[in-house]
Amino acid sequence: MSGTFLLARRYIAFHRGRTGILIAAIALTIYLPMATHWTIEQFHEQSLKRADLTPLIIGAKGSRFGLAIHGLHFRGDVPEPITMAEVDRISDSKLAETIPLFARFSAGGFVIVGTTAEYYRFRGLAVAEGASLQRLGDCVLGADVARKLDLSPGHRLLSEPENLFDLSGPTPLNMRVVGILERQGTADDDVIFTDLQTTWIIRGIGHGHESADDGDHQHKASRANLPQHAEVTDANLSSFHFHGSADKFPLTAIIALPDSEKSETLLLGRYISPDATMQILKPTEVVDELMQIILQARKLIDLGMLLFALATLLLVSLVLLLSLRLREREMNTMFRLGCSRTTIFRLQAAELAIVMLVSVLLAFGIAWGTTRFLASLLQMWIA
Amino acid sequence: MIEISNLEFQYSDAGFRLRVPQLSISRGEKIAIVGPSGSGKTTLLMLVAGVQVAKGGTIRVGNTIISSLNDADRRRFRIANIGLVFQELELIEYLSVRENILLPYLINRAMRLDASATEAARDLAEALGMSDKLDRRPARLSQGERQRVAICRAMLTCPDVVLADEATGNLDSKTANAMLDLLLSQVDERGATLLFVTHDHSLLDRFDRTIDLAEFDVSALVAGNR
Repeated sequence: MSGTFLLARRYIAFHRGRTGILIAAIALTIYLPMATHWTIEQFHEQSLKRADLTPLIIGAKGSRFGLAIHGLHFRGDVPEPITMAEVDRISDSKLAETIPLFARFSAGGFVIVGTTAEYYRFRGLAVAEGASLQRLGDCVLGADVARKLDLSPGHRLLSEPENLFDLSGPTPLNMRVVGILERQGTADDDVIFTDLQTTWIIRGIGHGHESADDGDHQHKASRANLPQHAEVTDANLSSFHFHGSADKFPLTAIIALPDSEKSETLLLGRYISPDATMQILKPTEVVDELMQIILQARKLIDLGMLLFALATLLLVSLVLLLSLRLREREMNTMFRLGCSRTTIFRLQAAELAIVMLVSVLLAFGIAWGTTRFLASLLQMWIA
Repeated sequence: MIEISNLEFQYSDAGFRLRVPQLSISRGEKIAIVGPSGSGKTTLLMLVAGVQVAKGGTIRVGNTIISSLNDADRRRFRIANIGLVFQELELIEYLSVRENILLPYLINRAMRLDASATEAARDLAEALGMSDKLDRRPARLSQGERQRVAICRAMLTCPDVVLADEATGNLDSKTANAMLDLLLSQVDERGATLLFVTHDHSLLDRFDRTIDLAEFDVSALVAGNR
């Protein structure tokens, strides 16, 4: 170890308190823009990756961003409902495969996504523990939901009513947890999956009750007198039934998977009309638009960071100048003993280099650590 | 050992001028330098050490004419041949006793810090009763112990010349004598030449010779407040 480096190291170790503060200030200055940059990049990458894999999303007319975020991440305001009839219409056209989504309700603070088996295949979801859906009233949990709610197969999970004060509303459904999905690192980790029929029961379109054999089935009159089942069991499964025409049952979005570019174009054309009550969108385009907005905001953030960095630089310079003044006597002693001005400069430079190195490493370390968490936080914020 | 002739020195901001027409000091001689404040005692030491550069005249230490050396050579010469003890001792607070003693080896690449230097530092510390405090910081030493560390640092390179600038200036008579004992014994042991600046006239009989900058071989014109 060179004498200069040893002296620098000893000085820093001796004044570890003040050096620590200096390192923290510099590290913070480096960390903030770095973490912001990395987080946005990661979010962009993740969002694009999921959007890339999702060719088209169809939903009620309204916010494009809202529908895209709902269809991709199940977050944000729930779009106005569309009906199963649209799924049939697209299927009949043979332009695309469809994956219906009904994600309006929640349980334990997490969104319940009603969908079909195609969704699991489409997203490559696999059960890590337990089994896949077996019957009405079953649900499988995303990895994070299971961890956060500390649930495992065999437990039950009660859906939350939309309106706590609506006593005439549908009875919350006590769902049976049958499986936990493998961690994906996507929005699928943060939701509860069930089938469409179960979500429609939560919606109140279907139900089960004691007296299923009530002749003309005058539900309006008899509902108050017939206790509805709050959970589905093997014994009462057959008592569950739906009312109304299936093509009017609600959905919040449909993922469409056209088999060719031509089919995609034709499908897109069907929703161009200004009178259309529904919209179709390419998630990649919407995510790109969203990222443009974020990148615009980032320019302002970058400017703020630049000013912050400049302020820190000035403060660090002031600290160094004051430190030089405080150490004038020490430096003079070294000089009188036979140390050159260059060596004294090298000593100061070595101290600064160590402080900078530690600051940069610290900033990188914390930025790396927090970026992973910040990406999901940013997703929530945007939603 | 030390020959000074026609030495002239003046600070750039003027107000102070030092003239030394002739001064000869033999090898191993122990010289006390006295004089009123501002008479140039410290300046004379710094000129001999090569920290300050004379405007005229020559300073020869051994076979080396200090006044003809460039900055780097003067520093190399100083660190290898001249030991310095300061009034405030000037130990480095963030270094251990061992590292303070070895400081000349840490601040100039001309000095190679090897096992023999480390061993010499340990031997010197042992001779001055500091061997069990080598890892301590100066703040945890008594004044007497700090003085010993300063002497160790000055003597480590076995210098031909030791320059002590009011090294006993802040000490009571007993402590000052104890420090001087240590310094003289180390200087004697190595056969070095000692120039000892002091205000304490009770110490003068401990030296071979006294040079009064106001009255003896050296003349100083005091026009400022140095």
